[in-house]
Amino acid sequence: MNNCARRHYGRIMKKFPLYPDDTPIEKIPEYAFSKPDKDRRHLFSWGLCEHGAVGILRQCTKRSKKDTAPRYLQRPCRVRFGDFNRVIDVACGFGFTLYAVSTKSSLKVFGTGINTDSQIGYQSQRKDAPMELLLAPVPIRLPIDPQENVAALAAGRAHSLILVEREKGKGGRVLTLGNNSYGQCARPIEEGEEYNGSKTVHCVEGLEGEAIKSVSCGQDHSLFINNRGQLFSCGWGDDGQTGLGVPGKKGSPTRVRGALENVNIVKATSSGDCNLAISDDGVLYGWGNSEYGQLLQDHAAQIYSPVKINLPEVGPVVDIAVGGSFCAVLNEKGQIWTWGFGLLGFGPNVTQVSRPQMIPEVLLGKSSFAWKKSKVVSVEAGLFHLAAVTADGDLFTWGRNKDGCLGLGNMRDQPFPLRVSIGATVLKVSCGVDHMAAVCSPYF
Amino acid sequence: MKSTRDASLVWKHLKGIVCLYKPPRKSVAVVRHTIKSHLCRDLNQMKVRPPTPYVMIESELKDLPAEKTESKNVIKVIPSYADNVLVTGPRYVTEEIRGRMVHELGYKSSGLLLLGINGGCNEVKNKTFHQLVRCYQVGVRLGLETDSGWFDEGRGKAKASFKHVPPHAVTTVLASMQAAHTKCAFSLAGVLPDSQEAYELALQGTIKPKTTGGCVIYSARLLDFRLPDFTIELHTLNETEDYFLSMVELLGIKLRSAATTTSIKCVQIGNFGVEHALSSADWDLQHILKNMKLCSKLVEENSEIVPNLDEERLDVSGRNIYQDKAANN
Repeated sequence: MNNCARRHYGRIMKKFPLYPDDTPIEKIPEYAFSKPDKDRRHLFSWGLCEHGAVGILRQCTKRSKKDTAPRYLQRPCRVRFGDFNRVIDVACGFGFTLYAVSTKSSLKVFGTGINTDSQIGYQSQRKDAPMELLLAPVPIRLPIDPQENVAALAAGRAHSLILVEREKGKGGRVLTLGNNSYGQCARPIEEGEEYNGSKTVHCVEGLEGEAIKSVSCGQDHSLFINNRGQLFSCGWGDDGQTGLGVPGKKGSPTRVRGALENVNIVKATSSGDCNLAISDDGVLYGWGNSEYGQLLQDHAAQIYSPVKINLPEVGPVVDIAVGGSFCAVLNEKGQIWTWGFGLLGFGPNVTQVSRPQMIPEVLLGKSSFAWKKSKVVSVEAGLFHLAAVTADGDLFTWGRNKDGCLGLGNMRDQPFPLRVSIGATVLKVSCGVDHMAAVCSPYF
Repeated sequence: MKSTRDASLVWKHLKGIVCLYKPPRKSVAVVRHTIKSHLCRDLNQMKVRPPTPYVMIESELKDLPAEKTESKNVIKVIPSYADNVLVTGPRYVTEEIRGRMVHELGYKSSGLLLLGINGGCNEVKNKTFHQLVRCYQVGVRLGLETDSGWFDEGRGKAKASFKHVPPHAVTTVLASMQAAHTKCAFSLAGVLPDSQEAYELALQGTIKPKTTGGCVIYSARLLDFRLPDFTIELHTLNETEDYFLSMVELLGIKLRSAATTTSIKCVQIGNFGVEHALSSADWDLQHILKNMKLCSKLVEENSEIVPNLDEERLDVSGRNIYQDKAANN
């Protein structure tokens, strides 16, 4: 019996029957339930829990010598932190998780997991003893005004980006912290800088005089979009991740040109070293590593400058997701098209798809009996797996099940989309490399 | 249409499947027995087989001299008294009629019931009638929870307010239940969810269970909503009355209230609808024969009813093949 079940069964249950045999129905007291809170959020997390990125302290620690703490959470577990704080956004990096919380105090960002490069800020219990591993969410002390709000979070291999804005939807500034050995924190690279226990927080006020509206992290590079729809990047670029035309490190956000020269970019995303971006009219652009043919460019394994990717069969693209060796796009009809290498959702026998192929909609909850045909609204990807959220709030995952990160209750790879059992409506999901987190609202 | 009064001719044609509408508060066994006894009653009222002839030889030996021994035998044929209806009992008895149900309905449930009669029993056994998706309408009342699950039966367990429940909350909870069941269907179909077999099954949309173990809900939706009552429609396989009762109880908890079931109606089985069913007033020979003809037509039209090839894979004990496979790995 696992810890969770033991706690459940070990509790003293309500004695039944509650009322004696001869109690008439009129005598039973009526329980008046409270009205539900619309803004209430539940936080769920699953995957590898050794590094504490799931944020559930009791699952990660042994309470006695006999106690065997589970190494993996194979299905979604409620994170208690989310019950006491109104979590609005979540970002999963490589072994750590960031939470954005809506409060009136200035502690608006929390983090848990690996902190070897101060990606969760300077955390210590004693003087000059920075903690390298955090098993439960802790606040990150950042220069944020109480009036400001956290609009978006992004997490890479060992660095974090936090977008802070004063007015909603107006864009703002970006705070970067963590490892800067490739310049991914948007500040000049210092040779021999010690990142463990670093208190440095860098602020990117604006790019070309415009506020920043969107941030995204690859493995060791960062992407910024300003209010004019221009894309900027910094960090490691040896495989062309930065899209600056030449390989090499870059220590300051630099405008990405190429095919994006006169295009209004809405979203750019990456999880490894391959990048995708979409413009406001739904056209897809890509750059970076294309060793598995992810960018549909036959001639080169590395694309150093953004190129336009023509997908006539897909139509206008709404959402994008990039994994380590594959890409996925969502079109206006709610169809997911994937290509590249890996378990892409076409069964266990198909591991390589050279042209975009649509995942059968039956697998994403549109069976012949389903009366409510809910569309897929967003698609996310980790390095080896994919996730899709429908308008109904159902979460589907598929791909390599590294350390139980699919949340399907087993450790086997899943070759086609399968629904994750979460007892709430999923609003936003974030994929890490071996764990996942989801922000949900209660059914009612 | 030909008419006959010959009971044996009718008996010859009395084989097939009938679609009945079971009233509530009558068990399935009682329904089956009622059908059988009504069939016997009507058959016995027709022209039944006459008693077998009894051959009687009577010899007249009286008033004859001893030398004239030539006997005068008279052969008489009369109806046998041993085969008289008054001695043997009625010609058609309920024990001789075979009946086999496609699925079970609970005591308080009502709705469609497919019954194979005589030759129809083999058809029920050898074809995949049990894999026709059944549609139920379940009436739910909020505010009370009873230990039996029924509104009008059992002891009250809890009472709760219900005025805060909006219809969209019911819809959301039902949608999540439906989605969760679709995933469970793989283990009931006896395939591992990461196999090619599972992928091909999933592409078909409805994953039919191979075992009779667990219930699968393919669709769940809200039909009408008038507090404190509402009706939900469920497309299911392997369902039981108890399952619906516990499901409604759970639904009540998820709606932050308490719920009991008021009615369970089976309204559709594959392409068999309520309009094809015989109500209990029409359970007589003439209607049943007419219904058999209609049902055989419906069976032919339905492409889902195919010979049952998975007989040996059917695990009646309800053992989970999926778990066995996992244990072997």
